[in-house]
Amino acid sequence: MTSEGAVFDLGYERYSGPRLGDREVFWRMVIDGLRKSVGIGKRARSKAFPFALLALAILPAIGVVVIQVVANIFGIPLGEELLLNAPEYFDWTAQLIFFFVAVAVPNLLIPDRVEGVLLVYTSRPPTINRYLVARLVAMAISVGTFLMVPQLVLLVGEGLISDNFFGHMVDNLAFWWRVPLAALFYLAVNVAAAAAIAAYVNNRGAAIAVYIIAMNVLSGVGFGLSSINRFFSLIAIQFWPPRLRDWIFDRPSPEEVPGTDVPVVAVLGTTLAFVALAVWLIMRRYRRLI
Amino acid sequence: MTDRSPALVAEPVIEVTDVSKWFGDKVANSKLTCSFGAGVTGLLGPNGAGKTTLLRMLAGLTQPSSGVITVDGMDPRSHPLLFERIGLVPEEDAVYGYLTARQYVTYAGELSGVSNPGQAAADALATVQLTDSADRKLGEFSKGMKQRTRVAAAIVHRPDILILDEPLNGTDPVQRARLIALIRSLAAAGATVIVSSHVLVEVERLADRILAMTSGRLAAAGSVEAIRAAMTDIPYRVRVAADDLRSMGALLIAHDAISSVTLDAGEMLIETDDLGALGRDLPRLAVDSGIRITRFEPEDMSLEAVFAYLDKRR
Repeated sequence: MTSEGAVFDLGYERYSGPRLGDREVFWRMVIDGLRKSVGIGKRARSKAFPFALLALAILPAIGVVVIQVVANIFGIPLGEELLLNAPEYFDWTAQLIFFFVAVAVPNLLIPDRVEGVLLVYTSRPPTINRYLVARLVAMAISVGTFLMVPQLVLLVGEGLISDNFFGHMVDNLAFWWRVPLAALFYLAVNVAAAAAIAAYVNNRGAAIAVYIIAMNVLSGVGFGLSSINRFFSLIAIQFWPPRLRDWIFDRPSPEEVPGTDVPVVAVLGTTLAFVALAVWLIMRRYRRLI
Repeated sequence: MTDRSPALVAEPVIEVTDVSKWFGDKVANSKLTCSFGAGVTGLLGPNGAGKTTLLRMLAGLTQPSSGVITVDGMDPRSHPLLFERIGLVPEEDAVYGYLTARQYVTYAGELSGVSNPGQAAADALATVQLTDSADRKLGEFSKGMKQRTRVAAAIVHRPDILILDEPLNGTDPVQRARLIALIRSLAAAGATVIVSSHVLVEVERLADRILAMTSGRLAAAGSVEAIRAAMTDIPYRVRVAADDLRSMGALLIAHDAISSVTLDAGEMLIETDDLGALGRDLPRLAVDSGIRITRFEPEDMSLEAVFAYLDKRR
């Protein structure tokens, strides 16, 4: 036994070990955004809404496949036309992603800003621009999943019930590249609009309401005024993606899509200008915060 | 002997040169020039003095309206990698309530680019003694526990510059003592620590050096004693008790260094311009006169008193 004692200085040294690169840190922010947008890590109630919407989005594809299987088993002729084709499927999924985006985008952006959590990012190496890009990429991935997974289920399901799965897939490849391209427009218009609103509105409920009202009012006004001048149909924001989808799939737009006689290049230009304006507004808002 | 301003340090890590910040027509900081080096600097001032705005500028979160702020000679706003060296505990809540403390601190480590954020988070949580609660959600935490979690998130990447805005808010006395010990140990190891507070006792216990702010301006800099000594226009106040107050009073009135003597609640309140002379002469006078002094206590050498004077000068 010794009577001597000592308290050792455990020391504190600045971290000088290896660091994650910018890209790795960026993807960790994206993953965080993905988790938030679909409620992973949150209460069951937060997860219920996005996953219920995803299930609803996939349901028609499964239904079509089941009907075809049943028809094959019982030898019921279904005709030459597919029960549901890829471009028409967007009409259904677009309605669902409209609500998903309405809820998910404000959830992703507003609490960080209003509750001061933005400081978690801005007091560290990621810049505010990288934070925003990571958030938008996370939204793009989750909305893209909503748009693409049902289409994939439809494609693979129909392939599985066809006589030749690989033949079916190869035959569809020439056509299927149009699906992600069309999805991109649905995604860009909806996310850009919701994010621009969420950047300026500090209450989540209000942001959801403003988005839903603005999208519907603009579309209604554009639809109504298109009888006066066809170019007024360019106000109808919700009709830009279906119009562009029909252009991508090289098929005529249904009559209920306003502005079918407006040159598609005008719709494309308006869409791109709108997305650019939304991005500028979002960046402007966040640059003023920092 | 150097003629460097007390607001400047010999080996600065952060330099603030003629910095002003205004929001619309409201001036938050006005022409601040100061610097920060290793050790704890306490930024002291009442609410609205401009401390948080200055800290946000030091952390690169806000651009000065005019003037220059550098960290190791670089503008933090144009060198984001400097943030790898900075840890910030903001005044705001700034936590995700649905995350556990471990998840939150790990994420903070990821954002700071630490290669093993899980281990770094465990170490940081152990440092603030939150290991046992690490897997509880932050939404269930008390204010003090959240505060400690924020400190853990600020040190998870082991920065050498720590900026802490009111870090002891909401903590109980035991937690406060632990956080003060932690902050002092970081400074002792060479970190540059800047702590803001409006609670004078906290700053007195924490900081080696004080920058006092009022109305967005730098009101004083240095140690409490040095700041008090610099207030030559305000006499020191000393409370003296003795077994024969009347005789003691008569002796003191005749002393050159004493400007006034007041009887107050059975004791004497003495005002003097020369505390050193009083401290030297009073025991001798008492011994010569056979008077026993039972109390000799400078009343305004505390940070609270010094700050009250500063605040009056506004």
